[in-house]
Amino acid sequence: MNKKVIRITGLILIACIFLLGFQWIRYSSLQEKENKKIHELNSKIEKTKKELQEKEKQKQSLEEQKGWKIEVYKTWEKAVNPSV
Amino acid sequence: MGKSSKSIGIEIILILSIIATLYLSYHIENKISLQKEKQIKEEHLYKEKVSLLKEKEKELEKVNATIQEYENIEESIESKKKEYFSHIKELESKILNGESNEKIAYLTFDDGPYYNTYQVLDILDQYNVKATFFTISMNGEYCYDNKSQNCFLLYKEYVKRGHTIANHTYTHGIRTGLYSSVNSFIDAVNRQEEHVKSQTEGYTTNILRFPGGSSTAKGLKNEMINALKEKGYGWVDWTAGNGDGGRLDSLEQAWGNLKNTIDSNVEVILFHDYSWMTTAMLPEVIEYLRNNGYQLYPLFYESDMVHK
Repeated sequence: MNKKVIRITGLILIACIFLLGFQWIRYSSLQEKENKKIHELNSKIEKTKKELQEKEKQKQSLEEQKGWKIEVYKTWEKAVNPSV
Repeated sequence: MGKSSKSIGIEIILILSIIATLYLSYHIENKISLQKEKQIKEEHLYKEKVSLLKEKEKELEKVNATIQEYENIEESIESKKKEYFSHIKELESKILNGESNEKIAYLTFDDGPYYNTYQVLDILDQYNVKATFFTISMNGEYCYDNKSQNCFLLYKEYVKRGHTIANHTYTHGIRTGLYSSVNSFIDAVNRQEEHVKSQTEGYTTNILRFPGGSSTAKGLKNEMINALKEKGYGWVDWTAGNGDGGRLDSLEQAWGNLKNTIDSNVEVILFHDYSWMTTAMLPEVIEYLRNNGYQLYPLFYESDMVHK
């Protein structure tokens, strides 16, 4: 009788351990996935921001270099597309 | 210790272990729920960040396109102009073929740059009008009647504001031998072409108006036209004007002249930069033309009004 009870309790314990393991895997994968997603996005945003800053600088220096020709270009750009 | 008490001990340990694992599972489940709640909040934040990223990427794309345009600035300007003029060409063809009831007026100003050309340019800007300037350079570096102002600066101003610079010969020398031979005429055309080029870092004129009109060239007109063709030039007279090149006694007279000569759907209207009357009436002229359905554009080589 005792042996049977011990066996059943043991089996229940094993099931409980499996349940615990399963819960742990669920939790850690959820956390990892979320962290990874946000982290990737943040680094993407930072990279784009940096690139944008560099390009803006490049654009500005081109504007200085090409001077009034840029103004001519802007005039025609506006003539073609007045909403610009 | 008896066998049964050992079993009870094991049993207690097992039960305690079960309780402990169940407690831990429950704890983790709570954590998962919290994580999920956090996730919902972060989902919103994530969406915001995604849209921010998209916005930045779009900005970057735009800046990249602009850089590309700037790097090949000459080509970019030409391509924009081509796009602009192809639209006018299409409209003009439809009007001339009777397929459209719309109207076009090409405002043209002869004999500048002049001291009040700035004023003319400002009025045109104010009304968002682009026009054509048939330029000469006989007035020299300084504007006629105003030694303090450098008229040559105006060449860049024409280009900057999107107007067409056309050739009216360097000298405008009707009485000083301009039309005495094809060579003297072409020489004056070339000089003005070079002058415009040097003042504007490369703007090339390809439309000409004969000083005094094409009929002033008399017997040599056809030869001169052929020489112009060889240079890749087109030429244009005018279909309407306010008579500001001659004697005008009053604004009423100028208005009368203008209204009497405007009678078709595509007009090339002659004015002179130097005329104070033209400058004075220009805002009303623009309004008058627009009220009568005219769209105002600068001339371009491909226009049917430019003879080739």
